[in-house]
Amino acid sequence: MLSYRDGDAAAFEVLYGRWRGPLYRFFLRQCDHAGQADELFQDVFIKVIGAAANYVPSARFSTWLFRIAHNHLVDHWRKLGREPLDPISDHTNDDDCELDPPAPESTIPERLVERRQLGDALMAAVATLPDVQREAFLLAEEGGLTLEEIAAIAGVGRETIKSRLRYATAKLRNQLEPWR
Amino acid sequence: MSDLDAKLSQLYREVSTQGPPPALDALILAAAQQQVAMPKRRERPWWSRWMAPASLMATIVIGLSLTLSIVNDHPETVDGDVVRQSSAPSRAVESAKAKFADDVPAESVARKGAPAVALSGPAPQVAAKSALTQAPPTSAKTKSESSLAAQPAPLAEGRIITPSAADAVQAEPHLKGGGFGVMREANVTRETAVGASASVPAAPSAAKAAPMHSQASPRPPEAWLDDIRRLIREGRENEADAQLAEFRKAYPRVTVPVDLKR
Repeated sequence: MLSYRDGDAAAFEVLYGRWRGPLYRFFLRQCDHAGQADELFQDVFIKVIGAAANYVPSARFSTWLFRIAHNHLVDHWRKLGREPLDPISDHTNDDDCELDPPAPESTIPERLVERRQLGDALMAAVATLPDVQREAFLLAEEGGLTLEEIAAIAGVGRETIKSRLRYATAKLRNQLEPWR
Repeated sequence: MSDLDAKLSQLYREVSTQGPPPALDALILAAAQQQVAMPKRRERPWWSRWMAPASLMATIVIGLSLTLSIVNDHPETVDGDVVRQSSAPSRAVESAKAKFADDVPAESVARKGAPAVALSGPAPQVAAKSALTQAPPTSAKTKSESSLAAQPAPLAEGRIITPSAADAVQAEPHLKGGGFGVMREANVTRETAVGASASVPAAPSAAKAAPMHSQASPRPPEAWLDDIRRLIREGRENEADAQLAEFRKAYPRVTVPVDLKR
């Protein structure tokens, strides 16, 4: 990003090639239509391009990029009148809450009959996650962000993010149980 | 993260391979190229930020200096407005008269009609005085009672006179003082000339108008009576009667000779 800021257009192509997929999927998993994801994805990268001149590396580029994406998504939801907060977020913010008991190791599918079908089931399960849990999961999986970075982007505490991720993975495991 | 989470994560990454459409890629990369190709805004030097305020300040200082200099050098241009307003009409009319008398013979003036009339006699002076200063009752009456004052002069005729009057002012040596004073006096004179010519009643015919306007000024009773006698001799009975009436109003204590009592 610093190279692009200094006028190296090829550096942006490298950067874009690295982050185009994760960012696009981050939007795709959270939008109802692929068109919305396209629009949000384009808006974010246009913002990145516009902000390149004043870019100062205060964090990892991925953190900066997904922070922009998170804020843009929240704005998008507000425009649509959709409540971005998860209805059970109060519960999930409680660090002392009792987690669903994790599925025993024996429940993990030892053999996957059809990898692709399992993958489709996983995508469907991700889509059913509450918004905040899904966002935390996607930031961790697509962005490769740490708990602290996700917490900074979402504006909540580290433990809250940790809790959300636990809930998310537990739900995904439960939904993938039939594929065991 | 547990081993279970790692497997879940691995599965997710295996199946999650979607990417943006190529058209979107091309659009964003083109935008990025365009952003790099755009010339960067040059940083302005520090002094250029002060250019506009400095220019404004310099303009104000120069303007004030010029104004103070003019006021100090020509105080009469500021203080003498009232004096000029009262004196300019008479000066203008006199100078216009002088120029006109030099340039045009009296008889040709009479043939030229109303515009010439306005400059040929003392009428403009009377009109100018009545327009810009308080005219004496006599001249006001003279103007209102004159048989030739029935129709006001068209404005066009006044405009014909204006330039000559203004030229006359410019030719006047005592007005060439320089500075704004001359210009202001010229303006006043021009207005006066226009006002005078517009306020002077136009004559139906210039040949008749010239002598009548010459009678409008205060004259000695004997000369006026001689003129009335001359009008009677020439058979211009109506004009003689009108002049006699004016004479009686102007000189109520003078006894009208027997031969003129009608």
